[in-house]
Amino acid sequence: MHTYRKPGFARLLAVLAVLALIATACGDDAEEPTTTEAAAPQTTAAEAPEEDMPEDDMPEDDMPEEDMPMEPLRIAVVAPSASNDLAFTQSIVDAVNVIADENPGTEVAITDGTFIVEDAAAAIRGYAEEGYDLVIAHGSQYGGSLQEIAGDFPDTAFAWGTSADTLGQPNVSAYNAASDQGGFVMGVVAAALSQSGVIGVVGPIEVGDAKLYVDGFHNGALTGGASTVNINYIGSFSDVALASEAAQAHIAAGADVLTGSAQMVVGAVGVAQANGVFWFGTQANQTALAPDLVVASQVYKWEVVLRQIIADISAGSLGGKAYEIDLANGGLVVEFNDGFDLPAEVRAGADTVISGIVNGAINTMEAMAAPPEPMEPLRIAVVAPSASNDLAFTQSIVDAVNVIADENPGTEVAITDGTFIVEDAAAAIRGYAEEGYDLVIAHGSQYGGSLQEIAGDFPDTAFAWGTSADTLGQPNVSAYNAASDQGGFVMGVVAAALSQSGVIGVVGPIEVGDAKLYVDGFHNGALTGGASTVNINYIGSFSDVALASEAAQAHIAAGADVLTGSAQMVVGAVGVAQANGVFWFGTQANQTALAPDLVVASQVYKWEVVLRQIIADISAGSLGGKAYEIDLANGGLVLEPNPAFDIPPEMFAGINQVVQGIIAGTIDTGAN
Amino acid sequence: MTQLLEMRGIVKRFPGVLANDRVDFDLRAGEVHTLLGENGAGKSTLMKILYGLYQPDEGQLLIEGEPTRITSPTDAISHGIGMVHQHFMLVPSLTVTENVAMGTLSKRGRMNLRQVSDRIRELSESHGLAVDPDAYIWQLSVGERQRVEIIKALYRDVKLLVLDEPTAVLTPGEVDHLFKILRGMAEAGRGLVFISHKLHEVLALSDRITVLRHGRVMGEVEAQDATREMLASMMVGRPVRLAPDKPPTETGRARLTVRNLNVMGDRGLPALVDLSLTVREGEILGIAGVSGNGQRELAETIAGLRKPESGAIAVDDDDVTGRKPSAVRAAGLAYVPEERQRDGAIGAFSVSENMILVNHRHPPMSRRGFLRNGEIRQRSRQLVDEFSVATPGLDVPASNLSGGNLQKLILARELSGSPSVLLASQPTRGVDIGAAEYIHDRLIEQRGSGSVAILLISEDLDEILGLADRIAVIYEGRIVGEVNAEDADRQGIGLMMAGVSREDA
Amino acid sequence: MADIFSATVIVATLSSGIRLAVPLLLASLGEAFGQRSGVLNLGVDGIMLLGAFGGYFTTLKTQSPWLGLAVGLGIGLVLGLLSSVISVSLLAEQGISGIGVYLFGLGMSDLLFQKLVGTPLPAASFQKAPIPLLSEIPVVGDLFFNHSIPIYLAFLAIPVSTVIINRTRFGMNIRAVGENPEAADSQGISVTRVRYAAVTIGGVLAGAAGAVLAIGLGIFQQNLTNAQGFIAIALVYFGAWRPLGVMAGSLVYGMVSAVVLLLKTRGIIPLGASDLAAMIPAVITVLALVVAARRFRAPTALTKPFIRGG
Repeated sequence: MHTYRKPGFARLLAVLAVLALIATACGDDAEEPTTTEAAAPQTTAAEAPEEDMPEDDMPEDDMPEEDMPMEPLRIAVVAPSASNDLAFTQSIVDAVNVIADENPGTEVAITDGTFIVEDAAAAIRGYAEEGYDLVIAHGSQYGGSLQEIAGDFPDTAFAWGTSADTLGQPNVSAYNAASDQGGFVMGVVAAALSQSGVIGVVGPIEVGDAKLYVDGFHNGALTGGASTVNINYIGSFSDVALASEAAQAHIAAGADVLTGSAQMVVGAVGVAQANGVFWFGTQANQTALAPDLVVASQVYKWEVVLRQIIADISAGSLGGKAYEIDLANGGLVVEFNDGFDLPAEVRAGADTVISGIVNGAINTMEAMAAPPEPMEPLRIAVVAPSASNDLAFTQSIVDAVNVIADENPGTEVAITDGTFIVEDAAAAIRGYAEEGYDLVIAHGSQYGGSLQEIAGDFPDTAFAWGTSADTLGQPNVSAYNAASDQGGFVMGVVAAALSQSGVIGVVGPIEVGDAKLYVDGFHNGALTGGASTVNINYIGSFSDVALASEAAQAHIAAGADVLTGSAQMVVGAVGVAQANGVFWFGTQANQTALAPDLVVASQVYKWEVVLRQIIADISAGSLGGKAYEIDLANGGLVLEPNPAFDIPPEMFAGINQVVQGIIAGTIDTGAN
Repeated sequence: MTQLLEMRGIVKRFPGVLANDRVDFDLRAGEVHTLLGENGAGKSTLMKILYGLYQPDEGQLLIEGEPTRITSPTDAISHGIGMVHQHFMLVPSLTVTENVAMGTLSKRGRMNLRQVSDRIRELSESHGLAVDPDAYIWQLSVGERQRVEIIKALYRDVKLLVLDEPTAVLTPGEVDHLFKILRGMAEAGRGLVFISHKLHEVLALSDRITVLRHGRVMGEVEAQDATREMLASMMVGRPVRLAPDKPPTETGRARLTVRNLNVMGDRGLPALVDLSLTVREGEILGIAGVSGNGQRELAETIAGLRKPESGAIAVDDDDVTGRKPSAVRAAGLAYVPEERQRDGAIGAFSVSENMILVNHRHPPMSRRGFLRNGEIRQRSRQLVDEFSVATPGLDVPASNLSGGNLQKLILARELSGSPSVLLASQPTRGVDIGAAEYIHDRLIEQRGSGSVAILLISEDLDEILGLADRIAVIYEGRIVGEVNAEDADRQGIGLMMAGVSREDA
Repeated sequence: MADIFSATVIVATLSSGIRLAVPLLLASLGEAFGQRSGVLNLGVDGIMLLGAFGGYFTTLKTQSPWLGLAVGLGIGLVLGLLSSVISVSLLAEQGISGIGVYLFGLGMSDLLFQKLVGTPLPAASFQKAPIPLLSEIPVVGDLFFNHSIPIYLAFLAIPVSTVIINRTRFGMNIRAVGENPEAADSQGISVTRVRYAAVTIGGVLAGAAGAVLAIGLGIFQQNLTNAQGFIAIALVYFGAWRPLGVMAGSLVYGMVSAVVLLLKTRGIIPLGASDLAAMIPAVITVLALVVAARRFRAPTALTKPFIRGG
């Protein structure tokens, strides 16, 4: 007989049920809610509408010099490993100290060991709040956090490395190391020293300057005559034990020269020492780790770029530029170990290679240089979170890809929609890359994390990611975004003109991305147009149709006679507008079909505009690294009025004026 | 008398076991026919076949001479068969009336529970089965629940009623009362199958007795021709001594003293009230009582598993009140717990691991935190031999052992530490007669060693009467009386177990 | 902000709460039937989705919301039977098999939607059916007696279910097989049949919940229910397996959602906190019902397949 009592399981179910409740309430979207209020518009316009035309508070335009007292300078560094790691973190700490020595009175603050990104973000924000003049986020993994923070502190200069991407922020400088150069030099030397002809490389993850270094070293070693270069990316920046084992494995495979990049190689250097094989270091001088066997180290002199960044800050530019250290500008230096008896001819050969690189005669990427894939006929894949016919976000990209396919006969299009679960999307993206698609479009800002990983694994595939302004630091990722605040602003003005009550309701999903841009733009437009109250309700979900409908009801109960909303869950809200006879403005796709009498206009996304540019760039051999945007000026955003709806001609004229003003830059939508 | 039931050549196989091997069994109207056998002898299997819960692999079943197939309890019920299961088949969250009405076939929709409860009142009056039809099952005592089960059968007017170990949960007085009701039912022409392993009850109630062993019928006897020894030998397959020889011993100093113990039960109600007792070396103090009167709480409190509200417990001269189990053990207590599967052994552990469970922290079983396997195996082998634990090996999981062998294992482990007090709670419940005989002998042997005080808690009055030097009766958490074994009589103790204090009795 | 206490606003908000509560109420009531019989059906959301699509599609094609509701019920019936086969006859692990039904409903409803409809088009909805006289009462009339007929029916289902569970032989059988299936079996009650019936009732009500949701909105979209089926399961636990309990839970959830919407709309909850505020209904429902339901316990045989003599 069974005993029918197992309270443990029942309790577990109860707990799961609670979690289900909470998880559902949080929405199923992976985006982090933005808690910052910096950009949040007021729900009621206390001030006169004219003041919402914010030509006079644009941070980029009117950066007064006198607001920037640069002496004495206060510099903060946030870095992932220890300040004395003889590698990545130490390189920036040493550089900042050099700067401090050069400029008496400079104040330096360092937070190291923040390998947890959230900790780093807290530190970066903390320094910005304390008014540091330059906050250096030293870790490519900090990009996402920095993007948010930089927006909140427009008067603080940030530097982000190693990266070539300024995150689309006017106050972020990017800095990078051409570490392939020193790697190439040392690869040549390594090949000369090796008896077995087998060389081992221990890398962390195949990204950033570690990848550059490894690639350069690899090519240099082959150039120098090595027969085999074994490369082992261990998958971690911090697993010292694993790095040591990787070194052991290389030695077992016959390697008699080793190198490696990133802070976890300290153990591998020890292995080299114990086995009497040669070692080449990078990022900092690693001679101390194995005084007899370290041949040379490529040392980063970040002070070279820091000097440039500081000079630019003093000149009033807080960022927006990318800097690089290399052998030519002295930011990279190959330091040979004086205690190591390097044959003179080898040393001379190294110097020849260095000058060859500096004057451009030697291409460190030689072995890698693959000609661009033949692009005809093009194969394009789209992965998107909601249904292809959602009359909103997903439909916008599907329509655009179909336009491209029509323009280019022979284009093959594959679509995976409904992947609101990020893992499913990641699997689809990877699948398309494996199948050899030429362009894989990840249409969802929540897919960024997955894409970053996947893009690194398929360096020959072009990816596009939207909506985002960030190429994830990958050379094969294009970012695309919509300036949806522009159409929002225009429709806000129209909405205010149509409203009798002066009350306008907005239904939003979560306060992020282009939904936020649209809502902000609409809000400011409506106030500009003379609306007395704009009620904004972010329901907290991209998919809760019922809740969006009830939000629309609540707006109407609050007196709204014009509604709008963004994202795919508004389909129900449009129905509510229809049932109650209030006007509706759509965005992302033409929503006239949902309420034929009451949809006034829709802002339609024409992603084909950016897709054409991206495809052109791919054909020209550039797989990514650039950010694209659709806006009213380039025709990527189009306002489609409902033909069945009678808009008075004089209103039309006014609308056109606003559109032209935005295109010309004389009207600011007030969204950022 | 009409032949109600005939089961011919019933065979039931389970993987690896022949549960019923060509069993013949029959029942006439107006008689009580007992199925007697050890656990696992095949009694329950046979009755489950009768009730449609299992299908026989071979054999034939005749109801009133008609060959019949019974494929479900519904079938069985429609043939006038009722069954009172050992684990009551009642839904605790329903009332007595609802439980009785459950499954009785009648028109759909709303129930006419009024009629049902009226009928229950009639039945309980005419049969002396006092029970409140509107009470919820969870409010009732076990005795009352059993009456509900019998009423369920009467309500359906069964011709044939199977009672599976119905006395296990009753006081001797309640047993007498039950037997009176059952005899009445038989005299009214119903046939009763009584399943039990308590010999004196079997002899008191039955007309005929069929003994099963290892799934086979060992014999069928008329009750008037049978004796306890004869039945026990048929059950075990060899001559059995039912009462251990108990040589007189010298009692020495008090080794376990309990003073004015007050303990709360699991539901926050007092479980022990001002309980005091003393056990001396060389004697067995038996605690008699009906299940659920505080025995479990008493054992747990002494063993350190439950904190007393007040009172004192001393082992030798160590005050162990409220101490951790390990401290109580260190003071000299050995404990054979009531729930041997749950508290006495770890089923997934091997026999040898279980052997050292309580000693594993001390040399020679471990040194510097590491278990010493050689020592452990040697010691286990020695104990397994000494206590004749039948096991295929030292490394098999303890859960593979039979109840009796598991109990021997626990006893071996507990006695290996040369305790000054042995607390044995229900040591032979669910254990076969052979193992019980062995365990009894070991307890008597410990008593004879003269250095151990033994506290025996048992709901089996025969066991208490056979082993104890003194008998204390527990009722609702109090000791309601204490007698010396030579002055004890079953009836007097039975009254005390029902709460009648010695003076009143 | 005083105007948020005006009668219009209060009625609008509470009506909103009632509309939000009804699908949850139907789904959790159905789930309560199954669970009282000892079967946990985690597939509610999948059944709701298919019921929602069936209801929407039928309404779109026939312009008849009532026919749509009937189709939703029919789909619920079929999927309820399917769930019964899986969990009662095939003795499947109930924590897993329900997820299978959910994923089936999620995928199939989307597939059918894409193939048969494509672009979401508005469909007819239920008309409001003010109850004569009662709906004339100020405030209260508008609040309680001015809804569509399915909403009245949903609330009517609560006392009806209470009577069925507590006062009928069928209800007693459900409770018996959920508490002690051996006992029920030994009394000649077919555990299988009772569980089939209870789980199928749950399926029908889940199908109805989906159909009422979709037809009430007049639209369908992929994953329209947004996991409401799982919220419904939680509400069964916190509603202590009683119809009145799940009704209270659904109403608390719906009302709190509506009030949060009101507060956001009026800017009382600041924009920065609006995403966080989306969790409030879940948190308050959990707190309210945990406090109320602590005294109750789950049916003893919940999640246990029944094997005779096993």
